[in-house]
Amino acid sequence: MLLDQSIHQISTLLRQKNLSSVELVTEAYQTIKEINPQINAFITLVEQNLALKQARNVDQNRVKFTSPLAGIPYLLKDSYVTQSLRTTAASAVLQNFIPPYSATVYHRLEDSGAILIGKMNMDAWGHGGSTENTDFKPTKNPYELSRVAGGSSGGPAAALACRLAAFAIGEDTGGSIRNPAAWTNTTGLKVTYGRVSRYGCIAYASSFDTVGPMAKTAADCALVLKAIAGQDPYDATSAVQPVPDYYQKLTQSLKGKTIGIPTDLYGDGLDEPIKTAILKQKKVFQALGLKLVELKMPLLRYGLAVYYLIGLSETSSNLARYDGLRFGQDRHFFTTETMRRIMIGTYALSAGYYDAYYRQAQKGRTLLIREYDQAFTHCDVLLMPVNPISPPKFGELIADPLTNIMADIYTVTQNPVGLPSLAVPCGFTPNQLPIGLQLVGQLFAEDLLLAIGHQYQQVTTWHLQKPQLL
Amino acid sequence: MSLKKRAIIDEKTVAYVRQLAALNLTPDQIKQFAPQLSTVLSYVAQIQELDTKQVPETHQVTYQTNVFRPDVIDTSRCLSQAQALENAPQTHHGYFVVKSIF
Repeated sequence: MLLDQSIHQISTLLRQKNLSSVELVTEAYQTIKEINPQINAFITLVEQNLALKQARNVDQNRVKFTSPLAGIPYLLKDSYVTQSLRTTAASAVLQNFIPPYSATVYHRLEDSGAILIGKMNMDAWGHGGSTENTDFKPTKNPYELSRVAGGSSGGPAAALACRLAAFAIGEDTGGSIRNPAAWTNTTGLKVTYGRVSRYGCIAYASSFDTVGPMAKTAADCALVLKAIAGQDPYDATSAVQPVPDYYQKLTQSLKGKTIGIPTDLYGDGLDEPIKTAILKQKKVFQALGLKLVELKMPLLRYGLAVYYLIGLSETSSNLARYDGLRFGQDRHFFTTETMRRIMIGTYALSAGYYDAYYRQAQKGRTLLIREYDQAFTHCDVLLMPVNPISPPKFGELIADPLTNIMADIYTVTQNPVGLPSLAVPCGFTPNQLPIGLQLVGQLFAEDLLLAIGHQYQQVTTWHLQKPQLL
Repeated sequence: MSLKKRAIIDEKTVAYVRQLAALNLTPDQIKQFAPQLSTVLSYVAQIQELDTKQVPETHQVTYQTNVFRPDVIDTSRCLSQAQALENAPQTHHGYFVVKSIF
């Protein structure tokens, strides 16, 4: 398949006119027609004629488009507004919402010449880790259709696993890019808070939300990140740090860099095959020149409490705007799970409980920052699991509120602190379900994470495997 | 009363919170939510175990302060009145129509 190739390879072929964007987009739509009915990754498929028109434009004006992303089909999680193209956040509240403006990330990709072909399924408003909390029917895991694809960016992840596009933009508030990447054998990057503009990103928790690339490899993510990162005057929280050439830095020397392994995360609660698969990779990292150290991070066990208290408080505030008066349908249309989250957040912020819950959680957040600071005095990067379990069957995760919460255990501490983290495939369970690991870095260390991920993917082949249904 | 004890949410509390959150719940949903919310709140109540004496709150992690912009209107950022109204279920002469509150 054309879309099995890396973005760099495809871009070279397009530039040399050995491949046309029209051929690429045509293949994508053919595969989508065959595969999407089986996995339900799309909420809105861009009309094929529109996409082909854009493809022809890029093919005919090659010289104008210098970006490596030009002429390449991509997907947006349906949490990014796109002018004149329905945007739903997977909620019935926005079932027929046509935005009057577009997200910055969309503008930047349009400017690069990339071609949007779909708005993708997700847990509504980002509320979930399995793409089951959606008003557009769940997305199925292409590796086993009776199981979830993960969430909340399950649609983009499942689609990438099936080569329906070259890359996607997901959104990560507490693991929503990393969780589905790990469960679908794809790569996903949670960026440093503020690295990519959130303008036009439908907010879940405004101090946690990040906009990030998802693709087959770290190298592909690097190319996408280069195009979308950078300060945006429309987003006052966007970072002023200059954007490095992430692609060029993929080959930087890793000699002397240290990976820290927080041993408390590898105990109870982590499925044995996942633990084994991840710890087996220590040898691979050592062979790349990295040193390994063990350390302890006991305060991380309060991460779920910090995340849920602050996250749900922020979401209760953000979702207050959906009143059905200026746009969208009214609040009756929220799912049960979303209503539960709004209620918990409202309670945590209410008079009499604000200090004990919300304020205490904000102090807990400071303690998490210190815990990570302390860990990074011993290492450059931390190696952690992504999911404690394999992709569950439909209904299993959401059956119990506590099980649902505990599944996020490894991915909720990075967002309150603002740290970046890269999830890459690292193996399969005995019953052939994907396993991912995450590399957590210091602020703005995306270039190091991507370099380690890329060099790891040069000597391993997990990420090259595809689901049997292809 | 310890936070764990207070974390047990009864139906009266659910009804009060749903009012604060402007959500409409059926009596059945209120009944279902009470134990579910209690489970979650009991779990997150462990936040109390953290020693936070002298620990300041962190509200945001941009690690920036006072991000300003010039006080100048950029018309390219503005929606026209028509655009602002185009998704509303009910409008009247350029206004959003809402239920009367008096």
